[in-house]
Amino acid sequence: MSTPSARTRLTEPLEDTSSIYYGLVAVAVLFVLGMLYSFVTVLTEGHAVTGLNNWGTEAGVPWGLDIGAFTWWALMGVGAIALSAIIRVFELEDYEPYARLGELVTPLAFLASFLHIVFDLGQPFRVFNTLIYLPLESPIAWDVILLAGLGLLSVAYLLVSIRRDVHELHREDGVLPSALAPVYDALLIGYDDSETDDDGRGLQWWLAAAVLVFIPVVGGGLVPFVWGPFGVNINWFGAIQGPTFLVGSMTVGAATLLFVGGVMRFAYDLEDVFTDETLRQLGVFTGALAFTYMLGVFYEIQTGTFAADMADPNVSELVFQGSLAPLLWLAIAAVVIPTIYLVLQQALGRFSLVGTVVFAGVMLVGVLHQETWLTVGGLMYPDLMYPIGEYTPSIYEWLNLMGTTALVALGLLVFVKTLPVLATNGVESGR
Amino acid sequence: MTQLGMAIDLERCYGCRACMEACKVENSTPRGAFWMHVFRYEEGEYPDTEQTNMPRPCQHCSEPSCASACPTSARFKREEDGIVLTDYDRCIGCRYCEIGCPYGVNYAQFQHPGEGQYGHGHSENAGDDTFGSGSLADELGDENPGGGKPPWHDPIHDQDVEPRGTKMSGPQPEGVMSKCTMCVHRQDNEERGEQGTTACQQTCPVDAIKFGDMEDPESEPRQHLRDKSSSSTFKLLEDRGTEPNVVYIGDEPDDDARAIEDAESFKDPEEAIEIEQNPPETLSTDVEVKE
Repeated sequence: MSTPSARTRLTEPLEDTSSIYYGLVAVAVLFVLGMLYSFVTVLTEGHAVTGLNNWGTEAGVPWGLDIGAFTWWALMGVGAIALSAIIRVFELEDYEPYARLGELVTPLAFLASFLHIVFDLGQPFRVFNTLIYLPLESPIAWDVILLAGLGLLSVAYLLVSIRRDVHELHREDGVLPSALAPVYDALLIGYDDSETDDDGRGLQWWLAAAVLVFIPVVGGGLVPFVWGPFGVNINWFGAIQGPTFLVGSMTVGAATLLFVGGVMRFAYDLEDVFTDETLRQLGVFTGALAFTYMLGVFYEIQTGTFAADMADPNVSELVFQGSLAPLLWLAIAAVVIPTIYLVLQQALGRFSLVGTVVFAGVMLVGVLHQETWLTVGGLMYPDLMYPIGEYTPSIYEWLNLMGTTALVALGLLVFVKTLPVLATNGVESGR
Repeated sequence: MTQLGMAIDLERCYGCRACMEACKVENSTPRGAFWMHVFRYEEGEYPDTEQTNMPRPCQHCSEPSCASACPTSARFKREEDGIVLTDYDRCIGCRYCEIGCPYGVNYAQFQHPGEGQYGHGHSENAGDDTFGSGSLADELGDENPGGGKPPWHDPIHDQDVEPRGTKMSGPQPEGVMSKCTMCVHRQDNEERGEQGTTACQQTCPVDAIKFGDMEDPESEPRQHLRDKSSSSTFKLLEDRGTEPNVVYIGDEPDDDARAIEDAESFKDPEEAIEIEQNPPETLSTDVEVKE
């Protein structure tokens, strides 16, 4: 059980509500409304209003910012839950608060990635056809299984994880908003107080272990392993895609925990929870993952496997020579420079909260940028004698991206006031 | 087993693009979408250059990568005759088939089908006047035989297509994919008397397109391939493993082949409408229009 002072720290975010909080909520709601406006417009006017078009004779690019953003949010969801599970399974006590952040971020990130798919579909209301008709021989079906399965696992995992803290804060302290009491009571159905001090091998531990097995097998291993030998099909399911996806997800997940943890510490003076030491080490970890991710990306570029089947065999060269080249260098810089900063921080034994948060943010944008241009660049240069495609994201696609970002932020803002965002034992071990 | 396919004779084709036009009329495809396209390209160094024209329908592959990519099996290969079709009622419009296909034959319908038609925006009748003057109601009168269908839409395309009994023929609805169907409505409606033909094949003035069962040694394409056994043949991007069912007679374009049209000559349809509506002074005529 936590000490009284730790308990006070834990409830602080729930009780102190500043005007900045309300301001952030208002801005987030505004952007979410912008996203709804974009969705309705594209629904009624058709995708012709976006920057997308068919490649080939129409000289367009069929996938753009929405697909880049989908990939990015999916990376974040997979990475955040994987890191959270690692912290739980290996009982890395200093990092327990980050595990909780990861649990909270994951369902929101999966929601955002799902929304981008919905926005991108020509027939958004048929999105569940993918589950109804799921063709298991298609590699893409396994993308659906990975993300849908992990989405469900992440919600179950979050619920199991927060029950103990909800029990303490709701039943014992009564600090959670009373208006939501029925929700908390529902969460606590079947909860047994005596189980709280078990040996750590409870349901939560096993769920975390399941997550750690599920991700590499379905996400990075099985698909390339089983479909690789067929040779036919879609060539971007080459061997390098799986590992790159996994490392990319860990990079985005770690950078997200760094970013959100830093912001939480700044907002609620949680120096004792998100300590200099843990933020700095997580920064090094993020940097190491980002470095490996960039290696994977370079292999993809070098071998041309980032591009789709219709792409010119010399697509890598064309991308480096064409109009996308400056964007490519920008994306590389946005990942590499934060990597250098985060690693140097540890090497030189220094720490800056603002620097850490800013560079984690830059890295997140860098990976989003990287994923988007990889998608677009792979669809700009057709093999047969078609014209080179053109793509500029429209205002609607930007509204979608800003909207999902605001939605995730809004979700976290709501969680801060309604759920135990800080794990109780995290507060203890942080002290 | 039947496998419909084509033998396309590049030694005969002279690039008139009547096949492209015939396909458009037959299938009412929207502006900018070419289920049949003709590559016109040049090889060699000036002055020793050679120009070739290569019609490009969907290759109706035996191992269609578009179908492998489809997350809902909306894109599938019909066992009965090997035509690769799109189930318009099931397609979610994700464009995976477009990305999985190396031939660039897939088209997403990004607009309302009516607005995507040629002539839309030309007058207040919003495309109704494509095949006549006045509004749709004026054209159809009291009989209204099209049941409210826009005149650009041949009602035969509204028939359900086997084996699923869903819509798969003609112009697709908004937000879904389509491509060349090898005129599936012709193959399935014997009473029309057009079975075993496609619009592009029938229209070709030099009989360069031979359509039929590639498994049947007596079929037109197979016979033609035998007749021209001295010529070289190739299949498009055969190294991709898709096993296309269109065989080209003539020399395969080499790496040096360059399109005669550059990006500029693929005119933006919206721009074309704009020019049509507001023709530059130099192009306007002085012909009086009878009121």
